[in-house]
Amino acid sequence: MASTSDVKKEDSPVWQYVPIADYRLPAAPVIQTARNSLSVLQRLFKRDEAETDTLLKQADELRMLPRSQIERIAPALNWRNAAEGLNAQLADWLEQESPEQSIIFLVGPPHSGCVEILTTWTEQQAWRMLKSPSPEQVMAGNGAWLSDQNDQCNWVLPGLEKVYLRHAAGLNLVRRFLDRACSGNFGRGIIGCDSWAWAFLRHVWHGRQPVALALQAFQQTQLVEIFQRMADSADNSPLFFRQSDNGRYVLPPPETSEGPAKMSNFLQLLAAHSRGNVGIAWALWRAGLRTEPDGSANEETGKEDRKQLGQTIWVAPWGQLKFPSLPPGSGRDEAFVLHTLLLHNGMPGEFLQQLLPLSPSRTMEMLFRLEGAGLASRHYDDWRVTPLGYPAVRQFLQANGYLVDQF
Amino acid sequence: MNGSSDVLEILRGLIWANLTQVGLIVVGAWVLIALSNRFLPWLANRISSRHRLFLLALLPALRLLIIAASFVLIVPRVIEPTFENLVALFGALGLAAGFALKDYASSLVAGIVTLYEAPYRPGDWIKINGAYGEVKSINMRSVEIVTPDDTVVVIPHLKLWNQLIFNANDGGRNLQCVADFYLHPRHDAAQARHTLCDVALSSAFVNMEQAINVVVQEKPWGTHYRIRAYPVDPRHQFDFITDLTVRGKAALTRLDVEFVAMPAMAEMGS
Repeated sequence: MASTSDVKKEDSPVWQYVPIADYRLPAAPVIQTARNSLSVLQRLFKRDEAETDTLLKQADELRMLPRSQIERIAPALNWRNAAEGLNAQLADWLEQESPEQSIIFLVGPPHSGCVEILTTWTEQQAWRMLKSPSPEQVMAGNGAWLSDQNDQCNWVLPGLEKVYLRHAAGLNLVRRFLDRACSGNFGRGIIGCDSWAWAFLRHVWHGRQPVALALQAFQQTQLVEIFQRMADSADNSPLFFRQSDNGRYVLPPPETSEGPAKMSNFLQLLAAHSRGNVGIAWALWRAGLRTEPDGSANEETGKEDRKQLGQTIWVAPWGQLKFPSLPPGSGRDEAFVLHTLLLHNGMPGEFLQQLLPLSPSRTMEMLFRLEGAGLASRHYDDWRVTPLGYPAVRQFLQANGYLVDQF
Repeated sequence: MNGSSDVLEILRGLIWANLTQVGLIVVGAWVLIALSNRFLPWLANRISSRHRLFLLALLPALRLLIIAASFVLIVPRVIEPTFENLVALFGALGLAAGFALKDYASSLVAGIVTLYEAPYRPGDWIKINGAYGEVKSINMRSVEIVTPDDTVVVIPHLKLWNQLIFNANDGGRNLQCVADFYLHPRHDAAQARHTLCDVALSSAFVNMEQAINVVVQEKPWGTHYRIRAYPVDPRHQFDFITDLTVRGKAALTRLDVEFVAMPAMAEMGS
């Protein structure tokens, strides 16, 4: 088990961008890898009964943090720092008068904030934000949308995955766009692309190999820093994050004369499970926060006491967390729906029906089934794979031979 | 020739206790085989399709192992396992099998050869004598395949000696599917080929890591297009071909390409 000093000894920047070939997945502890293999075996021999606990549920002795407290302790990720990190990475390229590569790609897995980072960066730099074409324009494949992009000023397209549809008529537009953009016809630009779309488009478009960057995977140390910053900004009183079963610290506590505190490996497990995806890790982190058993009584002790003594936030042990999993008997149809959602980083149900070789009613049935299992959710018109369900979905698709991303 | 009297002499030492043991061994082997027949396919259908074929391929080897083990356990209980006794017993059995059960014995031997040469394994899609289907089980004497029409075909292993055996995926997951299109010769072939490539690329069934190719051939009645691509799972092959055909026709219709109605008849007439 690590101590506070072990957790703090690595010192690498939080928001670090690297060529996608240099993306390094966080390693899981050996014991956890063995446990995962064991649980796969256990699942094999379990009867096909509907699991009632596939969604998160509170442990008997703990309860979930109230929504308001979660928002205070683990608020939404602040993408400004990420955008500044990107700016630092691009500094040389931005300074060049006429760079050799006029286009740079930023590739990131779902929920990793690729669109948000580029949107923030575009606002900071006052570049032109390209609007994605509508699905109808994509299917028509005509040049109306392309001709709108001929303005030579610097531009950013945050979501390349919205410029194609996996349909025989939905691939021409993205090819023409990439041909022109990468030959410098549109001037200098940055293109954001979801990692699943990137994997797919590598088979669709065979142009000049562009420069592609990715946000480096978040290891335990980066997660400690980012969650600590969130907690520090939440309250003036110190917050102690401790694992509920053994009391070990999940985030390093303020240093005392008692020496280094014993640390939990929760965040190492979190980094490995989320494959270094900060958005997924953040969602899992929020799902793991609990109030202490007598939390309600403690709330009445008043803010003054809390300021002096600090407040303990309990974190559920990794083994007790229940994440969404594929419903028993899941097969081809579930895979089709999930894969298509990932390839397009979410899409409306009506377009999903057009892309899949399933009847419209079957497609909707699958969507509702996956929603019930906590794997898909509706965000405005778009259906998307949920951050909590994403690791299970990726594993399922990979095990069944579908094209997966490299992150 | 006194082989049969030798055998009787050899077997004379049998006592009831041994017979009971032999019976128990036979029943035990039968139970083990029955259990493996049920358990392994059940397990194979629960794990990812990536490991399914490997697990199914274990089944005939496991069965042979059980039979060989039970044989080794039975022989010393039936006869005194001296060299002379064994030669006499197997000689007599071989003679009887050679005349009376020639084809049966040939199938049994071929069954053992299939385990070594592996011309087909459970999960493979094979075609023998015009019967095409997925290998469901490999028994000692025969192989059982299930056709796309859900008909079980039992094929003796002895076909191995003198018949052509077509194996579409050969123990792997890569099974090439072909979708045919017959078009009127007057059209833009490059555009049609490009469109059919996109039809395959955009299929939900397609294995993107394998090559996709569209072969074009000019015929007397028109132009013959063949999409060659691989599904993610060999079991989806017919749905995959259907998907390619349906979406390919729709895409070609959007190009205003005219289809040839009866190429076979036109070919006969030409």
